[in-house]
Amino acid sequence: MAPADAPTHPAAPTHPGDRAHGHPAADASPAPATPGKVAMWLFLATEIMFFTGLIGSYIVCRGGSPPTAYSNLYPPTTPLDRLGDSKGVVLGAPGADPARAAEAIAAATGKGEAAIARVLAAAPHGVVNGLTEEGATKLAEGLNRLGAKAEVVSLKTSSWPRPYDPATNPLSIDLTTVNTFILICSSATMVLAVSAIQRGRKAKCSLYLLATVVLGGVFLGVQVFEYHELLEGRIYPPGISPTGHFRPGVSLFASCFFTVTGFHGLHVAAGVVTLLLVFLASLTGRFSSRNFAAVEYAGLYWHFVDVVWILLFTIVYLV
Amino acid sequence: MRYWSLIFALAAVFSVGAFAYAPFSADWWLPNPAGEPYHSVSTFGREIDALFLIILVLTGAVFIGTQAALVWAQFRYADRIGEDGLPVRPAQYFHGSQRLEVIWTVIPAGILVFLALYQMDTWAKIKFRSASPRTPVLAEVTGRQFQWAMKYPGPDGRLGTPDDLFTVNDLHLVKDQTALIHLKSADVIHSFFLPQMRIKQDAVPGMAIPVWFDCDRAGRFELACAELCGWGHYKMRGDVVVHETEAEFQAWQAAKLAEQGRSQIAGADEPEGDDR
Amino acid sequence: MSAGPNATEPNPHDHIPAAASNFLTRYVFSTDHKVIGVQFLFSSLFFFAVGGLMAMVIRWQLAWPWKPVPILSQWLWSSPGLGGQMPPEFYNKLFTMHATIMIFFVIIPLLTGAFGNFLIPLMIGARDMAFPKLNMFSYWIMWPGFVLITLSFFVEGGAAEAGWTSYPPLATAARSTPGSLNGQTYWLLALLCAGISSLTGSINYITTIVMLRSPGMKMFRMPMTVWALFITALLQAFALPVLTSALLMQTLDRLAGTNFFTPVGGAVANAPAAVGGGAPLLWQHLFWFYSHPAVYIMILPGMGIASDVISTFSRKPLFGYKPMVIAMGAIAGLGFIVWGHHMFQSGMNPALGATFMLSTMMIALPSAIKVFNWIGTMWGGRIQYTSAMLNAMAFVSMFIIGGLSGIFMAATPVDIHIHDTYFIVGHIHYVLFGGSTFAVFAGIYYWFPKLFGRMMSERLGLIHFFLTFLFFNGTFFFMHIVGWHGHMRRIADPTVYEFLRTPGVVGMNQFMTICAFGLGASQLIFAWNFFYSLVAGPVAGPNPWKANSLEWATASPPPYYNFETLPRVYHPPYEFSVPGGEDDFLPQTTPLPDNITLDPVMA
Ligand code: HEA
Ligand code: HEA
Ligand code: CUA
Ligand SMILES: [Cu+2]
Repeated sequence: MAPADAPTHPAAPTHPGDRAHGHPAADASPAPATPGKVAMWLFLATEIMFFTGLIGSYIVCRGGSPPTAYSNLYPPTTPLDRLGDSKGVVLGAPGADPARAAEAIAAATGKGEAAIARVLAAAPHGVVNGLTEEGATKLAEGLNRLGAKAEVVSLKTSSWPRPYDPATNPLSIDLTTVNTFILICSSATMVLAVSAIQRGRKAKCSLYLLATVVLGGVFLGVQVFEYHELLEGRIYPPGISPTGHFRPGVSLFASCFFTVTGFHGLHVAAGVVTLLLVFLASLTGRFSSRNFAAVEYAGLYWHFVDVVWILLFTIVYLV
Repeated sequence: MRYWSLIFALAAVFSVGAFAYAPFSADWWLPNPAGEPYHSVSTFGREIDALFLIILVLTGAVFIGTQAALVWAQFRYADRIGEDGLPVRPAQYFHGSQRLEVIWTVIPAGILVFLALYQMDTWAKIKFRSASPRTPVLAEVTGRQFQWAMKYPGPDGRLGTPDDLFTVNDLHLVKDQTALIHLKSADVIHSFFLPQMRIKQDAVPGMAIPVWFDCDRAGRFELACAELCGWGHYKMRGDVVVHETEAEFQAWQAAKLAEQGRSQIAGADEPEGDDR
Repeated sequence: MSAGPNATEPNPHDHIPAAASNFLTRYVFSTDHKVIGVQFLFSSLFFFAVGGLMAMVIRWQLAWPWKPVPILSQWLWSSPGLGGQMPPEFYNKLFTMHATIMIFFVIIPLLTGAFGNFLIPLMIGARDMAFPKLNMFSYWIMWPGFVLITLSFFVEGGAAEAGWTSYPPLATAARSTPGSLNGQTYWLLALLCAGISSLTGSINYITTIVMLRSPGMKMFRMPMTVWALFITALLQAFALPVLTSALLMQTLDRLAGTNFFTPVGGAVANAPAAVGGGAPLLWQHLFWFYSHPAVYIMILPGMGIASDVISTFSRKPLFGYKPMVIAMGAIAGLGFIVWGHHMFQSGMNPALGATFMLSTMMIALPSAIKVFNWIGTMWGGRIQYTSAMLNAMAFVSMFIIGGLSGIFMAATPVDIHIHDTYFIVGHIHYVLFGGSTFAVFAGIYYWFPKLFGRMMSERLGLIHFFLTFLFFNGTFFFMHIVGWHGHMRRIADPTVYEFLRTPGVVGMNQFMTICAFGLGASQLIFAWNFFYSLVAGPVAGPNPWKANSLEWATASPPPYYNFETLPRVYHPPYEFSVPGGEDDFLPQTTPLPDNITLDPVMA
């Protein structure tokens, strides 16, 4: 390794390890960039194009989705031409005796046991679909008499699941808002880590790095929790998924959601691992105010991941 | 040394020669009906052929010009070594000419913009939905592995009614009438290709695409699938029959309908035969 | 942009890295850009032979449909029931894998991997790439790709057969065709590996070119080859990630049941209907957003190589150096807005098609500038007919044919008729064989002495060129004619159609096949010349062609540190036949005579 004060020269062979080269010394014209930084920016450019591909596809999928693709009563992409004036009953609560409620639904619709179990499990957003006006009213009344909470709804369609619409959209905006805030905080601690090391405050830098790692980890944890709820943990009404579970195959929205947030999650995971390594390296006192490229690059990447998330959060959850 | 230029000249002459010979052989030229190798049968076909010829002539001229310059440079400026072992002639020392750069940017630019704009009208006529004829639909054509399923509206002129006529790999239309079809696919992407009528349109699952064309010769033509659609892509071939008169078409349709009725009574509820 | 200090003495802080210590780190897991370049060269040439052999079988089937292929039929497909006939799906596998291998495992790795790696540091006067380890990674990540693509022939259903374009739903529905059962997944993963290789490579190239040029090597003093590789790397960096995202989406469609490319209720071959909701055309947009720039990725380095070779062997400065660079940039830039010309007949909005036609036509302009400048370079020169020069000239003359046929297809109405016919196949091979592959040959003949320190046989080189050039035209020219006659591409048996059963068409198909066999056999001469010269060619000096660029300023083959001291550069590499000079060349390391000033616009 070259000594830390070796002057940078564009002609000098600079290896990624020789971060020390990154610093202009007295006898060289100030080098505005180091190979590491150029490569890092290029890498981020490729990453931007990668997410452009994914997000672009999301937008195209959404834009091309017909106005009847999603409805509050039927699974996504069900042909609705003959179902236009069918009614449904939304089960707000199964009441004291769910078995009786189930019986009432079975009597009214002839649905199988599994299907009815799903309706009950999805409460307060359980949906009994495929009813006539009359049948729906009768069922709702019957259920209400049993102490359940039920209400007649008519078919409402949309081209894409709407935010805060539990009949079509399983995503919890509240949870993810908190999570977004956590990620933004981690970006802030990252900035603090870099500025600490620039001023030579090694301990402080390590501390902030640790904070970033922890916040990143929490973000990932919440995302894993969210995935678990969607994939396994909960039962959703038919407007979200015919099987009750929100999985990549159940609708185009699900495909898009899992793909874009999944690849973002992988990037966060890679970032957390990188930051962890940088944190461990920082404990050895390797970085200093003249040599902190690794911290800086990890930070660049981390901010990128953060910005992409804000974009995804807006596009996938909020609009 | 300099005779190496001849092999390039040979390639150019061969290319030009092949293109020049092509129109004189029906097998080498654009696909046209057997008896009339130079008559393209559809209105769009004639327009496309004309555009094709314009491009052929323009690119041919560019080709001959550039190859001539290339071969000449190769021949004329080949290095020659004199008796004394030194080059007979020094190479000229220059780095370019701004004037030439401008000339050979502006002239091709003019040609290309002209070419592009000149195509627009025909393109719009053939493909823009706004240009689709206001005639009743001749048939709904659905590609599927590996056949073309046609659904004619039948005597009542409407699709989706019990008197619809189903045929497989058999498209019938009437001479000099614009045929409008709705193109669909039941599985993967296919492509509806009528070589003699110069029509091609991919059939995409999930889309219904209008296609229209005409034909001014009665007879039998071929329908091909031009988009790779699986192992049987090569044999996804159909017949196109152009009837002389509307009456002939109606007679054919009536006969087919009667046949279809009989086979339905016989219990074949799947009207399209499956010859896989 | 950094030009370095103006001192002429070598940089005192420049240090020579340590040599690789053992066989493994020197030749196998080497971080030396030259070794990595050679590794790319050998593996791509191997796959060239594989892909070429597949083409031979393709041609056999087209000339004599269903006739058992001698020798091969017994072990390529084992179905005695067919009497040694090729199963139709095997034909589809052949052209799919032929194109995939040729594009992703031959031409791109040859041009960017082999030439890019070997030449960039040498030509800009650097000791190595900016990130040697990343460079090594970019080679070895190809290997999973090599393995997967080879393995895919042996999985149930066999290799992918949806064409190199892999349009869904054919490619995504497992039951649509045998190759979509498993082979397609292997294909996707192999391409992902190749993609990662190209991405890491391009990041490395750009960084190296931007940061590690030797003193005095201004951007506008770089050889055209470096410029071309630089612009190519930019193209890759910005286009490839989009393909990566598309490949991943298709993989997920196949493996995780997502619906990106499946229409509502999509069902193929009696499989249960999918939920769907996606769009098959979305894939085409994403694929061509990459793959159109990819065709320029495959031609730009060739243009760079041809420029260098033509200037050297015309003993004359490159005509319009700066316009050439700008034209290359324009090709790359325009390359991003023309992808729709592959989708004119796809059901895409025809109004969009019209705009894509205009942008596509415009891309012929910078190409025109290049062609005319090459001819201008030869004009007035002292042309030396070496194997490298002949191949470079063939590049120019064949690229013109391939480019002009592109104009027919860019014209939307004409494309209606010729889309998906052999006219396109003719275009492909005129640009990819006539263009890229001739450039590769030119590059190999030209830099072989630098690569291995030995000369290739010129006599064999000339014979190889002569036969290749003739057979090449014999093989591919008639494709235009059968193409406009309506001959569809990707069909295993044209004689199913009446209009393709005529003697003229059958005759042309057979003629093309015979020429293709000749073309394939001619490559054996090249293989012999290559390997024989590798061990027994006459030893080459540092600068056998009397060329100017920096790689010729060091030994052949160059030592692992490339240059004793980093060279100082005074002018662009094309100062041949400078008046008043003793020699007819002036290396970049020698200052221009005082009486010469270069035209600031052209040179
Ligand atoms: C190296 C690869 C390469 C290169 C350089 C090109 C260059 C060009 N290509 Fe090509 N192309 C392919 C590889 C390449 N292509 C491949 C592989 C496919 C098929 C993919 C598949 O479907 O499998 C394809 C398909 C393809 C299509 C789709 C056809 C179809 O499927 O229907 C089109 C349509 O516009 C097209 C156009 C062009 C044009 C206009 C150029 C231009 O860049 C050419 C410009 C050059 C010139 C024009 C010649 C020189 C200029 C002059 C001498 C000046 C004067 C000229 C005039 C005034 C006209 N190409
Ligand atoms: C760079 C790209 C490239 C190259 C070089 C070639 C080379 C050849 N190609 Fe190919 N081809 C494509 C790219 C290429 N092709 C593409 C993109 C398609 C479209 C596929 C699709 O539709 O999806 C296609 C499709 C295609 C078809 C159409 C198939 C169809 O649509 O049904 C045909 C048919 O004739 C064909 C033939 C040939 C032939 C005869 C050669 C010959 O030139 C081959 C001759 C070469 C050899 C025989 C190799 C010899 C090499 C050696 C011996 C190596 C020696 C060296 C050392 C080891 C040192 N090709
Ligand atoms: Cu249907 Cu090809
Ligand atoms: Cu293209």
